[in-house]
Amino acid sequence: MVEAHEAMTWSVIKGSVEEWSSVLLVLAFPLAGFLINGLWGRRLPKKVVGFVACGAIAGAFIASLYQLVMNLALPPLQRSTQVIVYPWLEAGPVKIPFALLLDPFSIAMALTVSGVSFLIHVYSVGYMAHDEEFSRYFALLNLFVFFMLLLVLAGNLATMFIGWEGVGLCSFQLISFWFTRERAAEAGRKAFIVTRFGDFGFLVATLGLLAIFGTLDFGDIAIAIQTNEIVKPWWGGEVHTLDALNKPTIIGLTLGTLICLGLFMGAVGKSAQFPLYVWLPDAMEGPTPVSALIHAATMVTAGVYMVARLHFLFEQAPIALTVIAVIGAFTAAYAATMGCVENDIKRVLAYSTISQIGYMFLACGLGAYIAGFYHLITHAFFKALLFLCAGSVMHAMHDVLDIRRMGGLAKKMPTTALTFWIGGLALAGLIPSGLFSKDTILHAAEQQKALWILGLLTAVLTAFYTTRLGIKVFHGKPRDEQLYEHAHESPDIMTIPLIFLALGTLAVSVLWMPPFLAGHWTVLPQYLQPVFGEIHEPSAQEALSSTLWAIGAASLGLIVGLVVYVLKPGMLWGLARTLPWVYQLVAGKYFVDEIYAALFTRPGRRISELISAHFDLGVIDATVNGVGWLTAKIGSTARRMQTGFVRNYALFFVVASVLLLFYMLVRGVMMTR
Amino acid sequence: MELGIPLNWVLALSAILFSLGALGVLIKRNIIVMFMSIELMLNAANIALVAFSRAHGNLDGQVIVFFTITLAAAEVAIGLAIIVALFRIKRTVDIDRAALLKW
Repeated sequence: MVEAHEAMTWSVIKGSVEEWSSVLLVLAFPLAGFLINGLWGRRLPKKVVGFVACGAIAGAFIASLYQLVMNLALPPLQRSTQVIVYPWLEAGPVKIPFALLLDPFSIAMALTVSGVSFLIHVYSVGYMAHDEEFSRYFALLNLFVFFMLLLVLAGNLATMFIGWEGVGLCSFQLISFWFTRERAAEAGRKAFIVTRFGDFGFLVATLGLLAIFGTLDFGDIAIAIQTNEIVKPWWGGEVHTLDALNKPTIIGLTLGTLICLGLFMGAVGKSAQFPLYVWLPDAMEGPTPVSALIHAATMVTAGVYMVARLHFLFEQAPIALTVIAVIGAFTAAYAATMGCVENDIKRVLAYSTISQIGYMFLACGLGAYIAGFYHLITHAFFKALLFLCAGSVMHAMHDVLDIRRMGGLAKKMPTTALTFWIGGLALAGLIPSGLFSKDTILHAAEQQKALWILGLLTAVLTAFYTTRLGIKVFHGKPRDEQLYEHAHESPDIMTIPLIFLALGTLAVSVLWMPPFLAGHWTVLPQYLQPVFGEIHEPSAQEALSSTLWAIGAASLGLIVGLVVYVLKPGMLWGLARTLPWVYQLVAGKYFVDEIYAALFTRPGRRISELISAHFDLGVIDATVNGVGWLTAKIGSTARRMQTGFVRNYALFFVVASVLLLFYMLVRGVMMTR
Repeated sequence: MELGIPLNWVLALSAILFSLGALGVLIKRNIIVMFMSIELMLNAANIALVAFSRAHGNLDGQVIVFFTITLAAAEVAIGLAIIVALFRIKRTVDIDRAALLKW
């Protein structure tokens, strides 16, 4: 572990809402945008809807920026403040407030989220201009940003969980935004159910933490672990925190490890890692800006954020960290291979996203949280950029996604092509900022040779599929003349965000430069130091050799891509023919979808059908219908009493009175006895 | 209790009158007769109240009797109005002819 941390004390100051009310603005802007567009959007003109939505996110961005400025004004050790907005769940000794945590990490993440979101919102105004459900789209997009910022700023796991589920809900809604298309509706369901599978682990782990610590507060848990406080776990007695976390369980792992693995399970679902990645490629059914915002830049990185947020806990569970690193590295390489054979422009990028998030988890698993977070930021920029370029291409190609029908588009859409190559080369790790961030991760992995080799292999594959994608879409001869004739550059409202994102991609490299370029230019690690502790900056020489490896791997991929797709286009088919089973396996996406269908989906469907046919109809419906039938039967019998003859009614009176009197008489006699 | 009629006798009279009234309501078809039977029942109750009032030596029972008389007057006003209305429609006071509101 290169970035092993010093023993550090993370102190969190408790602040009052009155004093820190400005942080509520960060959340209030997107929520207000959602309410306005959600309630009255249909009656407002599209211009107003777009303006409100973009304005809300701009407001959130400016509010986040204000928080950054305020935060920087404080001395480093006082930069973490917990703000209790109101007491939320209070039951006996358990007190879970609705709390926010303002610290360098959450502010940096909030800035990334709101900044990228703003550009994507602006782009969406152009992209969705002709959609009839314009206002629903923007209402949901604003709601998504609200939940994402809530997730980021949350001060305890319960508050984070609201955001966590909220972004899942918005993701589901936006994937199946065009719900009249069967495939979109199905993709939304798939995303929702698969991520829910991971959320189960997250929830169980959260409850486990609550049962041990009696609190879900990030700061309190961190301090309990640092000072090895005495806690009262559910099995009774009073034990030291570390003993509680190291308590062995029946399956051999310690309790702490199990909790961390449960949390990681949630991260695996949300961040689309192996084996729960299957929903992300299908999520591309949603509108492209949604793919850019939710399924590339922000939501899918929430898992990484959560793991880094709880790093003090994960550090107590080395086995869990190893699992994270291995799954991350494996997913990175595994998803990259599928990216190499996919022909759908958005799905290539989806596999690439899975693969890049794998890198981030690799970094977190190795304890290099800041490296992982750095890659998260740069990835947010260049992957959002790439997706928006793909959207621009789709716009020009009448929603054709198949790269085999594209080609030569650089001449028709120069801005899109140029910005795509900036994003693509950053993704491949050949230009900053992708180069720097990927390099810090690979450098952190250098000691673990197996992981390092997987990382380098991924770098080769990444460069290869990026080159393939770029060349097939933008260069060579157009393969579909008719489509090519109609292609045109997108309007300014779409290209300007592209340019800004491209500039942003290059600009975020100033956050952390390698030592051989600019001395100790480490803005990001310095700012995050109160949260994650000091990093060990490698010497210039070490860093240079590591960077050369990374560039070498990426260049190899680039060169192979150029050779195969520009110089000798026939070569690849020869390869596919000589190794048919390999090609079949990869092109069939390792048949994971089919395996899941056979193992889970179909048996699940069968069981559901059985329950529906027997339990639902036979028991539940039968009970409900039976109650109704009985009521009707009693009514139809009893109404005969209503004869219409006054005499009958009088008789009922008299008989009832006599019976009542008789009863009282008997009772009186019994009591006097 | 000074010389006079014993309480039980008065109560017996009240019970007999009440039963006669109830019987009248049950077996008569003429609505006016039924109406008179109801008055009989009310007054049987009045007799019982007055008898108890005298037996216990306070005026509570007699006060209630005044209320009952007022109530009976109001009832007669409404009841006779209904009977007249019914007669105008049906041209009869036979209550069994007015058995339309049923299942």
